[in-house]
Amino acid sequence: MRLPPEGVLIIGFGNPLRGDDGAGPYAARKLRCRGFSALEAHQLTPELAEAVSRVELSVFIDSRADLAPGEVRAEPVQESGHPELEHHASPGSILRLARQVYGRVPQALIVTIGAESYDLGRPLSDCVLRAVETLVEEWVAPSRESFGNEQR
Amino acid sequence: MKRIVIDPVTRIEGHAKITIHLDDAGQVTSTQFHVTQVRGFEKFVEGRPFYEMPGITARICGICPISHLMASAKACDAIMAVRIPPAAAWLRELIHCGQFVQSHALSFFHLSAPDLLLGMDSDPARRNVLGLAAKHPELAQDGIALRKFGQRIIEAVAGERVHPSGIVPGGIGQPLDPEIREEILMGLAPARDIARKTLQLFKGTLDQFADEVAHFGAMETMYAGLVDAAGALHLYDGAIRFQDAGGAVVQTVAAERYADAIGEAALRDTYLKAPYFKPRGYPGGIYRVGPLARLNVADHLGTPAADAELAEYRQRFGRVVASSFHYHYARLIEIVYALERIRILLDTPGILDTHVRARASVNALEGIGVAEAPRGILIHHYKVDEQGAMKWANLVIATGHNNLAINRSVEQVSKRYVHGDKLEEGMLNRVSAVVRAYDPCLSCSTHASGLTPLRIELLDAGGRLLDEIAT
Repeated sequence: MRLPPEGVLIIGFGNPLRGDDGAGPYAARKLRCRGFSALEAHQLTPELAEAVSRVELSVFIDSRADLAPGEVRAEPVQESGHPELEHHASPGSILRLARQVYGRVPQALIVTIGAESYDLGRPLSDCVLRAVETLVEEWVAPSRESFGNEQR
Repeated sequence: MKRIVIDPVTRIEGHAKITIHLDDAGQVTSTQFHVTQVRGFEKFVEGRPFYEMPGITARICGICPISHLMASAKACDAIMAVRIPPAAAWLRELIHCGQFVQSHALSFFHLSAPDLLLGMDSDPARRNVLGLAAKHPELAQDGIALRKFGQRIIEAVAGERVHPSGIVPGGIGQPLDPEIREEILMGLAPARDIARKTLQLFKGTLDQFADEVAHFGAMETMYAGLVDAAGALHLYDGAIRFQDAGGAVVQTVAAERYADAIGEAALRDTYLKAPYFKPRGYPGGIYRVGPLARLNVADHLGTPAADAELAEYRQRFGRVVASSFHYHYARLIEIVYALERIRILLDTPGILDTHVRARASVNALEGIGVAEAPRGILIHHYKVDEQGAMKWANLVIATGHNNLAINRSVEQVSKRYVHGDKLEEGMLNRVSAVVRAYDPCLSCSTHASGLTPLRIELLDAGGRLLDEIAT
């Protein structure tokens, strides 16, 4: 099932110069081309809280070293108050900031993609590329419904 | 002899630690500010085509890549021996002003406001941007809005918010879209309101910090900053003016003659170089750069609201403002200035011109580019071979100029606030806070500030742990 993209904000973060760390920004770019509101970021920064506070569902996409290469996992994000929030942040602290500053916090989930290589200057590895393309086609839209409903 | 180590210093960009030595009576005898990682860009760019340098050196920093792009592109302009089209120069300055707005907003609202508005001695668990948001949500909104406005200018004019690709050797990647011009104009009024409101708020808190003002790097040094031909502040271009502690102009050098005036010392306990004013030698040639220094060396700022603020600032603290605590105040005035410059630039006839790039190959084997970064003068100096391959690079990073001053400030604050064999978090926070006043950008490419837990240990002469604080 494909849901309309209204009310959803995708934030793909990571460093595109560090191999599979660029999976999040790449996914965000692909999703933007498919009509979603999607932001690419090297890292999460406090000002994202404003954009997050204005939507119904935020989906953070990141790479992860402790998953099998190409494995995709989606988990709900809980608010957190990491005290060292400065010019970078975690998804949970972005949610906390959105609540404290704008009085509104959306449902949120984080989609992580297992990385094969973080080597400098490497493109996305084949398995991560496939995972992102699968995610774009089949995964994110249904997950909005399933995770979103669970959180309500 | 006892030793206190603050490692890492938090709420700064990059990694640093501070060592404080105390005598047996618990009095501070000496201090050292260490920058604990090496970046190595000067070396590993060797062999790369010169026109890649803006893109490579922008990666030095995730907070102020625009400054590196400016200095690098200007050094490349010099290698190509071109004078870039006027619209390109205006657009570069426009982007640069957006960078000042977002970077200064980050420094004030996110990094220093927790100390200034929640208190130096407040609960360290809440003395951060989340604590600030809980107590002053409107202020946190303002900080986010101002930073977002600056970042939007960068993204809209230069292509991307971080490490944009639109600042290139010879000019700018693309002309200004009229719709983008209108969008930025629309955002100026609310941004100016935030800047004015924040300045008023900050000025109202100053009386609470009389002791910090008197001891946060309140010292005699020289100052250096870029000024235009009329002696006004200029962030993108100009000559380097050196001023002494009494306010006299000691020397003004063309930016490309920087090496006539600036020497660089290597220190034993830090990877950060220590530039000094050559005619006075090391370490007597200590000088400060950045907002405090820029407001000292400039005759005026050249925009009405910022000049009115400058007049009040000088009325309160004198023609030459010596306390590094006032970096915060100067930074806020510079936000007002940058917003006014944005308006002036957008109203400049020709800002929408489509000729924004000069093209040439190698016409000179050496190029120097200088601009004001938010933290001070930034110098890129390149040498290339006939094919344009990099043979040598010297990067004098803005924070480096302040290295000697930061060290002296840390010592001054430590001697004022650190006593005995009992650590109090608030007194050590002041040692970190004086570093934050300079808004140092030590190794922004690591993007890891704040991840490491703060751990402070107090050891006696035998290495025995006397006290410890960990967060």
